[in-house]
Amino acid sequence: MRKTSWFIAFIILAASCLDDPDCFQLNNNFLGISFHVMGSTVADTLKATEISFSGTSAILADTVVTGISLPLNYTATGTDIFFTRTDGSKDTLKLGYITKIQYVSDDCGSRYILSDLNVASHSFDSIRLVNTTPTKSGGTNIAVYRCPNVGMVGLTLQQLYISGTATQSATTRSTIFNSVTADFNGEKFYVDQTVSTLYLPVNLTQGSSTYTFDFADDFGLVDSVRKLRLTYRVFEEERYKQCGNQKFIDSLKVDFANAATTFDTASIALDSDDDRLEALQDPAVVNVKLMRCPETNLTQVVFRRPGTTTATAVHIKSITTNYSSDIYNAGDTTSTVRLPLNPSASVNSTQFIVTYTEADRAPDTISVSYTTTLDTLFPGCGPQVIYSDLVNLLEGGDADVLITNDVKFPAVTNIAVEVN
Amino acid sequence: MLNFQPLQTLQLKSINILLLVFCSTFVFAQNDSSSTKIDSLEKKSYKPTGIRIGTDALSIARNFYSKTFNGWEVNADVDFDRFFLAVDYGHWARTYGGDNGDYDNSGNYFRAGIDVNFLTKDPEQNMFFIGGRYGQSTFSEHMKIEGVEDEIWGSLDKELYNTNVKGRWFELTTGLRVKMWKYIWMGYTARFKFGLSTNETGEMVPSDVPGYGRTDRESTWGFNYQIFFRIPVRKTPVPAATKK
Repeated sequence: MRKTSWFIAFIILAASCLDDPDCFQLNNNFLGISFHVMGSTVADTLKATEISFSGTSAILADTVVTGISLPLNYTATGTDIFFTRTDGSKDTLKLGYITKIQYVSDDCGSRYILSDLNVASHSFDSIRLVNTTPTKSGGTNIAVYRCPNVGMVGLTLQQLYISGTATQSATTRSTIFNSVTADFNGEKFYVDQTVSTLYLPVNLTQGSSTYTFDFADDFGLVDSVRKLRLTYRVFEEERYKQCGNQKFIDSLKVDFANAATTFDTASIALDSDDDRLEALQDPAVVNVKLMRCPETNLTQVVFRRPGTTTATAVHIKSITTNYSSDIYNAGDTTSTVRLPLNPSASVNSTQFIVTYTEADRAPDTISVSYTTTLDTLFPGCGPQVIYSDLVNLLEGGDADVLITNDVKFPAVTNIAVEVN
Repeated sequence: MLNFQPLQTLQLKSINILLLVFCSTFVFAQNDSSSTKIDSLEKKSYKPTGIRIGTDALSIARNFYSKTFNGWEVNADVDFDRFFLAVDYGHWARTYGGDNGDYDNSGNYFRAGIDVNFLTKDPEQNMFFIGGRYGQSTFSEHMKIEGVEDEIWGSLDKELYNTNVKGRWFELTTGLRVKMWKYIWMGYTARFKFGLSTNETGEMVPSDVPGYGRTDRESTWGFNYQIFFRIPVRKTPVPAATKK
């Protein structure tokens, strides 16, 4: 009986294989294209306003891709594909292939089998036929290469941080721009945009470019306008036959001489091998890091109800200090304020007087002492006053509570002012 | 080499009963005394003892229950000790139709190969076998696509023909042959078909090859339930295990 069972199981298994075909995606009429720049391992991006095809009025609009799968006309033995880029340039790719038809089933109808893909002609700088069998979806049949255009420099904006006296870090920071102006042609970029990385054209007719950054936020700190001057070597050579003689750029440097660059600090970025990215590349990479030094003297004060830890908003008339005539947070309604300690390294205490818009609320005085040391945490920022061991001197009408005695950037809450 | 123990006659017949209920009358009617009438031989002989000629009952039945199939198949084998030369010849036509197009084909095919019997000690020469076949088919097919639209490429209407296309393939086979009554034998053959190649030159790729089946997979299965008439050509030697 054991063998009998075996045979019956075998028959059931055989019968189970005789199912109907699956109708999903029967045709292999898709062409996979990947986009590249000669000499780069980074994928190139196609920015097309329109991709159209021979044999149909259907188009693919507004495409931004590094690789794309396009339909081939399976009722014919060839398809012409027309690319129109966002900059107005156009390219054509004329393809041939063998199309065969196979009946599948009553439900599915027929399937179309495309093979022996070939490129009849094209207008791209260069292409490579990777796979001659079109796909059902995905995969790459044709790699499209374009000549490199190394006229763009990449910049990133970074904020430097300190945590106490020992820990330093840098973080890419989104920044709001009014505009960035290239001084060599007057063109404005990134108008009213918020970005953390910028790609700007360089002047290929000489060995330097200067840019004016107009910030709409506090990246520029006191000065909302900062300048950057880059120097470099422009040279011509033929790297790829298809491209002829081309201009390339290397030896990129940030020029701080004669205040040509007014950012807190800037440096040439490093690649994964810790080599300086002094040559411009295509696709463009971040070559320069523009950094904002930390504000080491910011203390944070929170207002809260007595006996609670919940912040409460107060109407501030003004906040003044005992070391300058500056007025802070005038007219603000807020529960938290950030106030600068005396920037002088030789003074070890600062007093703030908070007055409120309510006539019946008495002013509060915040008085703190601390230890100051002059230290260079970031070479580009030079020596900075580092504050530590903050002590609340507990002066004023309401009780002030010391939360933490470390002065950091970004600021942390150091003092809580209890208000009724 | 596989060494199967001989199955009991009733067990083998039970398998057939499960597969085809109408065989039961033959099972009960069969004569179980044949082993006592045959001579014994000490030495192996490769001389054939008989020729089995039969037909595939499933193919005939399919003509009645399937609207898309029309065909028949005849089978024959001849023994050379435990080896059997097996030949099949058949006709197969299919007709499909639907909203997505019509398809029909028609052709003849043959298979030839060797089966190896693993029940060599069975006194009634019942047979469990494993074997191989080469198959070849000559067929024509026609397809018509009408009124089908692609949303991008428009009308797909087309009519295509393939004429006198040849298809070739291979099979691994296994199955049973059981003596039911005197000269009547029944059995089944399961086929694993693979390695199909066709020689069409036109735009149309064969969809269904007579004798093989659907072509959209690299391998496929087939199954026959066969009824044979055995013509003895000499006395069957008695296997050593059953000598008296």
